[in-house]
Amino acid sequence: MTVEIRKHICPYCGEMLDTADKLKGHVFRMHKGRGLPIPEGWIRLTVNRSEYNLKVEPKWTLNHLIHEVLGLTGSKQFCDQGACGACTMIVDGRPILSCMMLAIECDGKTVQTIEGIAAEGHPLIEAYTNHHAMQCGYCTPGFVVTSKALLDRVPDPTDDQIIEALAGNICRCGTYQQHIIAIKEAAAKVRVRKTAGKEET
Amino acid sequence: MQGDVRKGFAEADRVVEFQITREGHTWIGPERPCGVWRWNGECPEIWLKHQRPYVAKKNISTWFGGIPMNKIEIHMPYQGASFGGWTHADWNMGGLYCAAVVSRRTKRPVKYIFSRREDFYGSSMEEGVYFVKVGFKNDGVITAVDVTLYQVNAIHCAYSPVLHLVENTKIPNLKGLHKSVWVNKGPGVSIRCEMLVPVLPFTMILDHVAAELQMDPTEIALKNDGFEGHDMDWLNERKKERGFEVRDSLRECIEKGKTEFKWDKTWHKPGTRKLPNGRMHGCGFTWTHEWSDSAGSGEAAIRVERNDGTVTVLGIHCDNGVDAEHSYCRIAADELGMRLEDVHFNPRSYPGFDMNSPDSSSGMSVNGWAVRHAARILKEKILEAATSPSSPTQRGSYQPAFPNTKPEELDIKDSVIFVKSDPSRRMSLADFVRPMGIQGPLGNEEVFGSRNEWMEPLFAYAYHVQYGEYNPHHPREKFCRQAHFMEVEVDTETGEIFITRLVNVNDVGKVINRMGCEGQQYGGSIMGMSRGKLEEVIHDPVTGVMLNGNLIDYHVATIKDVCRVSTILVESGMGYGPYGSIGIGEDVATVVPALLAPAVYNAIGVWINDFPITPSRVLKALGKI
Repeated sequence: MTVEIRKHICPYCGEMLDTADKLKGHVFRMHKGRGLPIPEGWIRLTVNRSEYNLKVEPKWTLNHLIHEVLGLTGSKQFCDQGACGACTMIVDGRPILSCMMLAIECDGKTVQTIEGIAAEGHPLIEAYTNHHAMQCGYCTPGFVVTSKALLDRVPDPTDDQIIEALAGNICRCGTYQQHIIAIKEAAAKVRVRKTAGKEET
Repeated sequence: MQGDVRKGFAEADRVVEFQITREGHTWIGPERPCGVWRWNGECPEIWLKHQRPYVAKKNISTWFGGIPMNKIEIHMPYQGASFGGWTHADWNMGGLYCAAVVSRRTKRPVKYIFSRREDFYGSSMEEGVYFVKVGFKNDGVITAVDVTLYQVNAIHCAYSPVLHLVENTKIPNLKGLHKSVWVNKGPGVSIRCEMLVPVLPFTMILDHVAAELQMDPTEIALKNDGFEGHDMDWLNERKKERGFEVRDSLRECIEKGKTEFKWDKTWHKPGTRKLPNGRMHGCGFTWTHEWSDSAGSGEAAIRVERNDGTVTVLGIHCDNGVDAEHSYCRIAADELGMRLEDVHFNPRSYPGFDMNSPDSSSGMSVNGWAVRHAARILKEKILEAATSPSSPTQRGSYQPAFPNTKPEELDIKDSVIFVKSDPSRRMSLADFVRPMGIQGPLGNEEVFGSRNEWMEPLFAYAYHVQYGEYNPHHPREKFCRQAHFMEVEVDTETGEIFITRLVNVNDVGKVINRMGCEGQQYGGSIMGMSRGKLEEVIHDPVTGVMLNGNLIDYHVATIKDVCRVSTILVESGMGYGPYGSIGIGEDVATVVPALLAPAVYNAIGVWINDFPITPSRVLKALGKI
């Protein structure tokens, strides 16, 4: 004869309780005010200001999730091992290599991709076009995202700061010198915008 | 073989011999080989990364017992650069064939993509050992050159190691011997470009002679400039015969480059200038001729869109980042008298016109002609239509847009047709074609109760066949020249080389797309620097297994490894392409790697003839390891 032991598991902290009433009491006391927990294997992600609840496989990289699942194909896979910067995205304000980050690690994080940067009309897009800072264009999204993260942090970067920031991005067509020109032009426009915004305020 | 090298060496005041080795480097196209195959019944629809859509289609037509070519639909989406390599060679099609078979069996579209490791297969054609013997006079005139190359796994046709000396100098006696050695490595293939083979010894020979005589290498260049053993007087006669203004392209390039580089103040005797930072300073110079126009043919069509009068260029063409599309639009716009923004070219789908895709430097020289021909034919058609009765049917016709006027009395500017003698009589092309009606070409009186005007489609098709420099029955002398100047600093403690300045001067004949030309200059320079000092595919000498088939262990130059590149364009108009233009895409990346050797020699006073010139090779040359 087998005895069925039913446990009531708290979805927030995993504590096991004997009855449903005890579980209710526990949740009310310990986790009051929190939103519903998401099931295992799911993550909450904000991508370009849109919020998603996504079921992800443990093996998926962030790049796979964004590129293949969400269909935002701007970020590119060039080396697939963190050597080229083509898949760079901004995660919680920092440029990261999305081919080297597991999607399941990204629960609660905020991601900005090249599509988000373009949608906000960032001056980098126009500056890159004006100065032909691309040839085949495959690596360009990674450069622009890295540059955006730099300008968020350093509004008026020097040449050396730009070179240091872009040191992890490979352009096989050899457009490096144009990036410096484009980024400085975009930086100036961002500063003008910010100044104008403050004056309006 | 040209002349008699034995006699040439006998005439020489001095003879030097040296050996060059070059390790293989590879293409590293950013997007890996990939494609999608979908069967629409028995008709395949294919999205493919490939440099030559027409070659791909022809190959595919032989599969599955034969597929009629008119049932094959190919799309060439934007695909990142490729630089030859995989996408240049037919074996790229293996992945696509697997996708086709799987798609047939699963009855679903199938995508294939190589991993980065799989993309590391084979390397550049110039990998090998070169044994060089040079005879020259004390004034710097070279009398004989003999080069024997042992090349690794040369699967493509081999180019003589003295080819550029034949095509670019007046050296009368030349002998080049090419032997292929087969080892357990991938193949040596053309990667931007197959002329790496003759370019490497060309630079090394000219600069070794300058070093032996302690002469300025720019003087050695001017003393030996010519073509197939002929001097510049002979070459100038050929320029006249072809109707060109006689210009000394090399001298112009050198003068402009020296001024930009401040060469006369910068160049010095080898190993004599130590900088305040402790590094040794050096500078180098090399040069070459215009890049060859490979034989090939290109088709292009242009049509005026109904109703709004915008113009579309039609053709399939691999868009691999050199911005040829803009150049073709510019040619079409200028020839037609259209505003540039009214002309569009989407080369990615199959409209039935096969352009010559990136294939050596012949894209512009072939397709540019085809677009120009088509635009000129189309302009004639537009002006003819503007002066002819419109909508001729059995029921009559309408007045011409420009009555009592002949086509030759009209012109088009800024997308507006006008009478040359009275520009106030004008009509935009959009207004001219607008009566074609929203229903398309045929007015439908029965349905709409009124008769629309209609017009013969304004469309023109043209093609161009380029016999090409490689065709031995149609040799064309090379008139345009390029000059390259490099400055380096060498840390003699660590062996590290810092390239601090690079000046490129390219006589491109005619600039059609300035940003595009400059992009090839600085872009090629950066690839050249990377090849010269960093890039090397390393194999286990025992097993032949590639040890660095990834982008962590195979070093490609980043922004920290290179310097700013100065770009100067010369327009002599002596090229083989439309408007006297020549190709520029392959020259710089091919020439610059070898330039590192004379620059480093000028810095440390010791030749390093082995490439890439790594810190360990520098330290070895200095006797420090």
